[in-house]
Amino acid sequence: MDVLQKLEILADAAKYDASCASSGTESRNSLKNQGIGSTSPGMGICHSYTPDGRCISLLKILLTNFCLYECAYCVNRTSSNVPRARFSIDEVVNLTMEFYKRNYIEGLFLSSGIIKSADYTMEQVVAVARKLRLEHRFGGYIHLKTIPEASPELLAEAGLYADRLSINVELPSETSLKRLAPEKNAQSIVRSMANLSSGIEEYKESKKLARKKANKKLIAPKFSPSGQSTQMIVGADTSNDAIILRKASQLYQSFKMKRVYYSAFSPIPDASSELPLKSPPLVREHRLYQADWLLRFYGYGIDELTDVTNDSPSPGMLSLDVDPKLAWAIRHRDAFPVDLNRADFETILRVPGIGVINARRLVAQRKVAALRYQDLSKLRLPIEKLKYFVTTIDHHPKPTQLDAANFSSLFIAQKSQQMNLFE
Amino acid sequence: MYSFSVTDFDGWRTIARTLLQANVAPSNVSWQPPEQQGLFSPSSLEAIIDPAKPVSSSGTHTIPREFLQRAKQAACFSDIKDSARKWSILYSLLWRIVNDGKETLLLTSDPEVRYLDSMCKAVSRDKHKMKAFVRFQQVVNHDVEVVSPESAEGNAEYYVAWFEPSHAIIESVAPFFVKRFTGMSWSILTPGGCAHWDTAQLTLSEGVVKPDIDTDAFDIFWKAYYRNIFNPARLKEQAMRSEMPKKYWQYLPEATCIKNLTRGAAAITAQMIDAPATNSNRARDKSQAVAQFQDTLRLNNRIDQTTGTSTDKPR
Repeated sequence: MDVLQKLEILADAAKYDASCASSGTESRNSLKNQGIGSTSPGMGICHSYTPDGRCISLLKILLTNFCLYECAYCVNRTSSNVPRARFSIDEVVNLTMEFYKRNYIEGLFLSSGIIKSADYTMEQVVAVARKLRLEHRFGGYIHLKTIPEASPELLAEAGLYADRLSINVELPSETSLKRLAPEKNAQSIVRSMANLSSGIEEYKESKKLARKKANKKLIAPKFSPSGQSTQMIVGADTSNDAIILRKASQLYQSFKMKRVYYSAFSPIPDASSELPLKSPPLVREHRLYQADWLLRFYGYGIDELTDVTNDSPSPGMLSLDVDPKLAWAIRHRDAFPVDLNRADFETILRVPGIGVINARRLVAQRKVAALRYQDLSKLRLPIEKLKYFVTTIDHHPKPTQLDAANFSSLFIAQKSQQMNLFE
Repeated sequence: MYSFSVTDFDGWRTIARTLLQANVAPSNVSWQPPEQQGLFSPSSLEAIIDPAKPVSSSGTHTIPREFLQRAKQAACFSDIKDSARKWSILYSLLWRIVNDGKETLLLTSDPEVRYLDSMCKAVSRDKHKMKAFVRFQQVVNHDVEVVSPESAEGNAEYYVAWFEPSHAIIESVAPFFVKRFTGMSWSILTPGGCAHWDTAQLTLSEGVVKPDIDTDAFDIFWKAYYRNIFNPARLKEQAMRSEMPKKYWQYLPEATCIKNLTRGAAAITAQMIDAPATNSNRARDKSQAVAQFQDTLRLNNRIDQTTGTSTDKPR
């Protein structure tokens, strides 16, 4: 089998991993070692987009899609009838370098099916990164998918070369993991995440200390400067959104995850008989990302976001019709309208349609001159959504609007209403 | 009325400094595109400074660094309809900062502040897209005319890219490519200027018209990757187009795949959904080795769950 055929199979096998991030690592360039590759601490670069709307930032491939595990949701599980292939270490190294030199990618995201043993597989993955960094002086981004059952020594070496390490938690509960991924060990996952977390912390602390004492020798050996991330499959088990978000926020807290990715399990070429027949709507995945954002950067609690009322048709779920912030505001109409000229920053942040940047702008601007309705459209805020929730010196929404029984129907997209009409 | 024509940021800064010291209000200055300098205006700087009049009371002004940085970025902006507008807005803002204080820049709904914002945003977006969508082609027998003579000598591998940025950013974006592709020789060619790197030195040269560059044989690998990383079950063409507008497609070898991928997506998805599910014991039934491997792990995991301790390797 030639490299082109292998690439086709092993890219296809990798596409269900959502992460393609190349941001937030340390600043590196190739001036010093005359090599190839740079990274920046700021935002990553998306070099292309596929028609599914996802970006291509990294060459995302599997080293091999042969796998001894039988994870029901995975296209590469043992029983799957997909064609199999295995790259050599040099083939992956060459593809990465040649793609990078043409400015197709920011770097490599390497993962692998499990062959022979966890350690054997992990050693192969690490060997690719080692060769790229040491022999090819490659300075681009490297994300390695870590096998939780592999030995800590191998994880430590992976941390030397990788910008980011990740272990997929896969499912929000141990029971689901046991049923759908019987070879995976929930405790190994937790233990390895903890190992990564302490390695990352140690490296960060040593850098801080070195800066404080102005002594570069105090910097510990490099360890995954862009932190760790994980992925959860959505819709393969019966966990509701509240359970998923609770698991995610626990992961953020315990292991300082950079990101938790949510992946609505999608139709795959050869599905397992263990899976539910219907894949979840993609909008559910989107709502989870929105809620995740609100939990981390807007100070919302999980119970505030998911519907906890007992008579709700879908308890513990996020609304599919409107985004979670708007859904919260509709449920808490008594807290509105908010006076943009008086309210504190945190309160303004809870107004649907106002994000962190614009909340900051409004607070800065009102010090110079009191805010008027016109200022809101000048800032290109979504007026149609916003107008019910805010007051300015020349705008006072009618209280009857907010209190109307059919208030929430104002926001449900025309399209879905039409669909109901014809159903 | 004074009239000036300016081509770059440094030129604008020199004139603006003098105007400010002579206390000339923005309404008394007209900024012209380079080729239309006013005939009757005293455009030489000496004429502005009246030796009998002392320079403005405060002498030299301290300008917030933030404004200078943004002004420098805005200077790359090209407004096709009115190419000199940016210079007059920049001077007007400078004037207001000096007279009304640096809070002027906080008035995010002020038309001039917004124009500055939109210029900076457009330039920064253009730079970002250029970093993303420049595609180097490896060339073997390259056309010497498009290449600065130093670049190619003695280097077996040489890469060329053709790109048309919307704003005058080649000079400010070139260092990014130098830091990233230090170990290779390359040229980035644009209509407004070219950058060349020979692994040691950066050279800038005049803009060129679109050259003929042979397609790179490695394209086929990239296209194969692009086709296979696409998930037909999640077709969202609009999302792709908003991030990767069609005007950039001409630079991207993979763009030729888009039409077929989009067209075939529905059929492939239907096929995946209709396909019968596979028995999860298929591999176990066929191979005893697989069954044994999986059973060992499954047993281990069960013990883990009952005792609550990990049985695999301790740290």
